[in-house]
Amino acid sequence: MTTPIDFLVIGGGEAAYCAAAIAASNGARVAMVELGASDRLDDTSQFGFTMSDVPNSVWRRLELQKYNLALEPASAMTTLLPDNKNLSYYASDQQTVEALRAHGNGDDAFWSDFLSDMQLLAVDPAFRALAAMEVRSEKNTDALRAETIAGLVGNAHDFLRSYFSDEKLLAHILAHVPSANGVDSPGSALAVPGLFNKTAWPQKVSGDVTLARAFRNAGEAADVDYTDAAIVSIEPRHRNRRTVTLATGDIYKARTIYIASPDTALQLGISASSSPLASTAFRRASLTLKINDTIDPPGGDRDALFQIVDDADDLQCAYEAASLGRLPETPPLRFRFVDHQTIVAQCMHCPTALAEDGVERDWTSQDRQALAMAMIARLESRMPGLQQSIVERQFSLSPIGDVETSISVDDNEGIIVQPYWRDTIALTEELVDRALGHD
Amino acid sequence: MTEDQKPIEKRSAIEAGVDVIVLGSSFEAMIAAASLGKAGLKTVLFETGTNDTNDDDQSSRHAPLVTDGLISHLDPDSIDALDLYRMGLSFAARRLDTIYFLNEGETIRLEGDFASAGQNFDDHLLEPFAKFSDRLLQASTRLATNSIAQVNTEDGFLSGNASTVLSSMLPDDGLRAVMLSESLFGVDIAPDEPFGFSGLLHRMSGEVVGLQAAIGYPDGGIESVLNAARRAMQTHRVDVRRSPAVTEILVEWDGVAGVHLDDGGQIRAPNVISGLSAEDTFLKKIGPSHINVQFQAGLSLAPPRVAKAQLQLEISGSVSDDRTQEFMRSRLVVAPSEYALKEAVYAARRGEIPSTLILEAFFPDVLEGNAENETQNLIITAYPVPMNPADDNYRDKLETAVLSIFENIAPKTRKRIKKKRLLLVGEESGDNAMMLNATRPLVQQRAYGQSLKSCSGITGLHYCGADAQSSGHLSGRLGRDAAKAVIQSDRRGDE
Repeated sequence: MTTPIDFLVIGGGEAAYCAAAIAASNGARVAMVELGASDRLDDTSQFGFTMSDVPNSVWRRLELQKYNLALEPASAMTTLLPDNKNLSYYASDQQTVEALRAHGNGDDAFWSDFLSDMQLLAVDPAFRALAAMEVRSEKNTDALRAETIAGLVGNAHDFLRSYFSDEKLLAHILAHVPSANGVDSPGSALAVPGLFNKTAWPQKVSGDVTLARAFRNAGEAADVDYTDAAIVSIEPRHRNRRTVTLATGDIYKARTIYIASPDTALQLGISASSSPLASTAFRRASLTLKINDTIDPPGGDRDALFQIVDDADDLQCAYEAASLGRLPETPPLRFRFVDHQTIVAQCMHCPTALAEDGVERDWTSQDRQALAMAMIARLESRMPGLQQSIVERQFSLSPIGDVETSISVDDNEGIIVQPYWRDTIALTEELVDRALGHD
Repeated sequence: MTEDQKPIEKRSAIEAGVDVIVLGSSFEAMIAAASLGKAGLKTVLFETGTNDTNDDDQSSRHAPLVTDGLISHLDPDSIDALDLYRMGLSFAARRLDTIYFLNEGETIRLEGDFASAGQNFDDHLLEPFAKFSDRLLQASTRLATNSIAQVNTEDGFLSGNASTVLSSMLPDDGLRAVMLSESLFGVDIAPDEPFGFSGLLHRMSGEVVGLQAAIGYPDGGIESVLNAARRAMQTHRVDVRRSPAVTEILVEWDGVAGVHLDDGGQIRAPNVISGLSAEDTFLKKIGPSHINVQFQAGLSLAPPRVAKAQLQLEISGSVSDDRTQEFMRSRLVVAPSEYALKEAVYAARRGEIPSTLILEAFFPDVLEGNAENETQNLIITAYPVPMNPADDNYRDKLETAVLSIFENIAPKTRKRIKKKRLLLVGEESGDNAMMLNATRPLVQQRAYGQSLKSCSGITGLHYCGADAQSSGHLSGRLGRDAAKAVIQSDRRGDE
């Protein structure tokens, strides 16, 4: 069956479901190809890690209060460094500065300046255009001085060094920067200001539904046509529409195609990644631990979003290992306490395939086992006694290769690829509205 | 460092009547000075460099440049305006063919005119390659003439990583490895890191002998290009001075007022063009008190972490057969696999010598038509190597690494070596250093260059030094732009 539509969303995940619902709420005819994501809609291993706040405008437009969704902001973003050192960043600037002062490295004096720089940048349209590489005209970048741009398109590590000298503080900030690139890789600095955008504070979902499920429910209410199938082909534009054929035989003729993550775009063979924040596709390992004892994190704040790193090199090594098809030796981790007896930990830098003597191979059960053990050892290093109290563990790797066919798209006209961005949901809203001419 | 013996009191005066002072003896600075001279402005150029002999000794004055290389960028407007071909510029090789040596002993040959290269490919490769080269040349033309933003919006080529962009356009592993090496040679980016593909775009955006994306070798090497610029300065009556040296650029009321000399004298002039390094220009010769804090912070942008090295060899044996001659008349490139290249960049950043390197090699004597000579020069440029290696035996290890890779394509080279010289960053002659410096990602380098060219708002000051250049190559464009800006402001002043 061939259906002409305005807006086709491809991909799973919160941003994709949100894009479909928002487009439909704009009155567009919307379809969404879920690429196997419908099975994972209620996957609670994502519970602790909704990174983005949901802007009020999105709540109102989609009437999310109807869907039993409850979000709770994390109390802090905390990094557990070696030797019981932990550094935290709080929603309250005052609290952050006080914590840094207690740390006693003198960097608290620069924090306010740094923070105000980052917060101005995070909302600067010129910066956002640069980060998304969506610069339509050179005028857009006028607001940013050339030297600022030069710093921002460099690597995150050097960028932060222009503000701070304490390597521990650098490791702390870098651990929380949401970039798939290495902290020493070009372009990774662009992800830094987003970290300090206060509307994008990490949330914990504590209601009955996942955020993705709530968005899908809202989309259903607005007549989004959902299909969970693979894509066979995307054809070049003809009369402002692209023909997209699914494995089920269904055909959509869409004006705009919205791809909610750079990874999905890559899998579809849409290469000309529009943002430097969209680069390497890695897999994400999730480890859910059920524990019988009460384990407290260093510092005792169970509502924080934690990272475990030894130093900034740790982060770069993990990136390099993943890019070379190796397991990270000391995987940088992020983790949260979901409830009193559940910890969810994730490692963001896992190779898509492992390389042995230059030959690629799939993950084996030994590899999974090895990584799970390395992750547990990391948690144990910061929370002694944890290992012994584990009663159940569940390890999973984010799926790849849902799309079997590699599709070559000649030009990217009419295709939107959402870059990795801290303030994901707000960006989705912005991009969808712009695409539909409602900005 | 000048050994000038002239009495100090004779010079410690204020000289006036000069329109423009140009600092530095790089190609860009000379093009700037010659262009200004041609426009009728009284121009004084202060040479810099490591020449400590007498001024009148012509032979040492034109001491050969230590680095030599192929040219892919030469500003056609500068050549036209200054008539550089009549000033002695000529090309021994105008559009070099390249032979690429891949991992498994496979070779790929690309003709020197990129627009029509690949004619010897099989049909299944020819079509995608033709499409690729067409798209690339269009995009790089836009890059040369338009804004960065436009190029990116239309192609996504600037932010994209080399590996992904190439895999979407070239189906063949070999061709991908070839273009990957061309993209990443000297740009401090790994295959899957953002901005990598822009390296190829930049490499293709240049023009030599009126041909975009061609690679040429000047008759007499890089030095002869500099000589042509020197002659252009002479013709257009540029006052070239070596001493006394300039110690300070005078800034009064946010505008440039002239320069201060090390004999205590001053030259007053409303315009100064600097072809020196950014640090030397802004922090040493102007001083932090005259530039704003933001600009100063921008100046301290971290330098690239990896570099090129150049191994210059003299090897014995004339060229006997035609096949070898054809080989030696080409540009030879060793193109590692993507995986090896990743490992190499990461290793070099850590300060280690990678086990695999990209090599670019050529035989200057053969290109100049001296294939019958008994010895031949061979120049091999290697990338990526560590910028600041800690290892004591670094030079030996690097030399061994380069030669053992090169021997895979030309066996027994080591046995024929008569003379050798290894050049690392910082060991090049002062005039045109940066040739071995890896450059930053194009987008970053352009923004940085833009920032330097703004000179933080000091009127009458223009910057055309190597730090503002988008590659380590000679171009002339920056110098010409600086000269143009001065000429325009001069006209405005007249009205």
